[in-house]
Amino acid sequence: MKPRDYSIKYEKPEEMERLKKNTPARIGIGRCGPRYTTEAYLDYRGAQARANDAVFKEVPGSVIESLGVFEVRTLCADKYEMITRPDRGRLFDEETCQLISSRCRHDVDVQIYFGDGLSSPAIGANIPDLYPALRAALEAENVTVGTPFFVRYCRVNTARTIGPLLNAKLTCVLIGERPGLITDESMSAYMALNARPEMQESEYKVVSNISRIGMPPVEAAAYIAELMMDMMQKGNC
Amino acid sequence: MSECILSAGIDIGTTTTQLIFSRLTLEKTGGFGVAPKIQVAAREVIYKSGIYFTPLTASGDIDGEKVADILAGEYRKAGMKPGMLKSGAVIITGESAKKRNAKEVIQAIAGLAGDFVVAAAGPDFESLLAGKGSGAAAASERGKKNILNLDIGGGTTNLCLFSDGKEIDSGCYDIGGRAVCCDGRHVIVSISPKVEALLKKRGIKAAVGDVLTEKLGAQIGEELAEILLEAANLKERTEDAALFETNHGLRTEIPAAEFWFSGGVADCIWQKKEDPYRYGDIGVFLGRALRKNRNWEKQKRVVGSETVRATVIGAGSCSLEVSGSTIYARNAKLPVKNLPVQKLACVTDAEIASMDKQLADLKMQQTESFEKGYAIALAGPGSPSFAQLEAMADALSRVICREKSMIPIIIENDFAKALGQGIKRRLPADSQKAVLCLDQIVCDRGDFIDIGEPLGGGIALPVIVKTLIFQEKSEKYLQGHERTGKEI
Repeated sequence: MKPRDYSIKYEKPEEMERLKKNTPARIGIGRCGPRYTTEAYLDYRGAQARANDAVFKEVPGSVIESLGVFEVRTLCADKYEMITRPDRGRLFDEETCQLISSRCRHDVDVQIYFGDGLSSPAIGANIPDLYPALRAALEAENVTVGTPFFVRYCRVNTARTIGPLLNAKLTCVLIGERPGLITDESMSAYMALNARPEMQESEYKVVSNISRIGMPPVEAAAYIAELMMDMMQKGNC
Repeated sequence: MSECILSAGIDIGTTTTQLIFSRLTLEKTGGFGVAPKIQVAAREVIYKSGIYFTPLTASGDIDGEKVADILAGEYRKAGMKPGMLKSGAVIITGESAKKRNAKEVIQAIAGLAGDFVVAAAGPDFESLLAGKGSGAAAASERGKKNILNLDIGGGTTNLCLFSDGKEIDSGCYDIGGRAVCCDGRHVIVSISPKVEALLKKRGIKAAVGDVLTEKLGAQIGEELAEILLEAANLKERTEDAALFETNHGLRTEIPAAEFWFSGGVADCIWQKKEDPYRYGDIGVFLGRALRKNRNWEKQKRVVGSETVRATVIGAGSCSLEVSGSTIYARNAKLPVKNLPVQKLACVTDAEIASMDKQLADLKMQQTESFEKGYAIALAGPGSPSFAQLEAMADALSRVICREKSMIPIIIENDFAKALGQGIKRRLPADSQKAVLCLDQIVCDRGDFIDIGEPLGGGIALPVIVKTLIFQEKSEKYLQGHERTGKEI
């Protein structure tokens, strides 16, 4: 995930090595006249393309299958619509609502589901460790956890529909984060107590930067679980 | 949001006894979507005591009662009460012969030390504290270079090598200002056996009763400066240097870019006109020799921003670290002090699977360090999978169930809360067993650890790692450099 080492001769290689240890940013990439070296330029373009792909590529069906969850989609027909029509990325058609309602447990303490959001690689990279750890932590505290599922073309505000649909006390969407040039795998957890269509945006609590180079998924799970317990005990403030 | 805690440092040395109080400002950062984090934002010395001669009994032991009197007086002057202190360290430093009654001394001052940390004295820990207190560690981090700090006190010279601000090697030699003492008429009244042996070998005549002439003083200073060259890896190490080792010298030959000096003798290095007999010992001569010696002259030498107070400031101000802010603590009774650290290799799946066996092997090797409780340290994978986490929790929960006392788990990477929850899940629901996991603290086998009461409403813990052995740290450093294939 870290920017690669470039085949550049540094005047003080030791020193450069030390500086690089302190940041994942692209430093010491050299130049050729006023422009980047070809190698650095290609690497940069590569990261740019990966970020672009993370937004526009689909989460493969095989990934969803391996997670053992069912899949639904919002009103959006594809990624382009999801990007351009946030209003449609938060809603489901009647049939989908019925499907979710029939396949999921109702009246739970915590409803967790996954969404592609702005990064499709984030699902495969984080959910296999994040979700079981989160579920185990909650169940150890006698919290009931609903049936998980995957939402394609998902925006955070799907929670406004899912919460009341399943009558969950707390609704949590684990969703791909807008990718950067260091990693395209980051995920956020958006949580809301008593989620509902007319809720305020500020009612969400967020844990962001979940990835193996940010907050490790298992640790994020532990932290999210405690945050949820706290929210349910104190209510939103 | 910030909170302040007060910390004390008490250094009872061969020659001097000192105390400082400092204020550590802890800052809670974190914002939208980011887990809060507590960091030491500022370390500020708010009170420095006078520098007292360490009171000794007729038999040459440290007089604990008198030390307690001195300290009590300073507490009064500073308006400080033991209950106000949340952190700190007491260390008994310098010449080993005077540490015979260290335990009694610690007991005599226990009331003053209050609930804060009392450190077991050890040359390696002293070296580290002196290097932090002198500013060498910070300079090494700032300048991204290797710096060797030499703290030359009355009885010993403590060496600590820093790379990027991290300690990687240390050593200690019985060389100090009080190695040779004289009276007002410059007559030698005492001479350390090791120095005596060296001078004899060099054919320099010096014995108790002789006059310490300026010429003789300069000669002795020069000889000791030469030994320090060997100690600092600037000259091939001979058996002469080996003779002066307190416990051991530097274990590696990692070169240093700068040499920093602290301790009382450091003040004598650049003072050209000082009366050499001012302190009634060899200190000024040694300082001069470090200035004039032709090999030392070639090196970049820096006198620390703190000299005679470096160790005490290190103890009072620089010893505390704060854990990562996603920790796990249930039923934990804090503070805990002086827990020996047992290190488990725990990065690959194979290593994780062998955690039980590793611990059993360690127990076989060194039963005594397990008797009074211990802490388990592990680096762990940077981002463990759920399966790895479960496997670690399996092994560690078995250990916790088996042991009577609390076994804190100290993790280098960031997954303490996850591991703590995993362990707790494996204990019976009504279990009153203490589970304590903290992360982002690096410690190794041979270290001792103190863990204080929670900070910032329970999100992080203050920790003092007392490094007694540096071997693993320097090995790690060397390995890191071998891997990148860079010359060191």
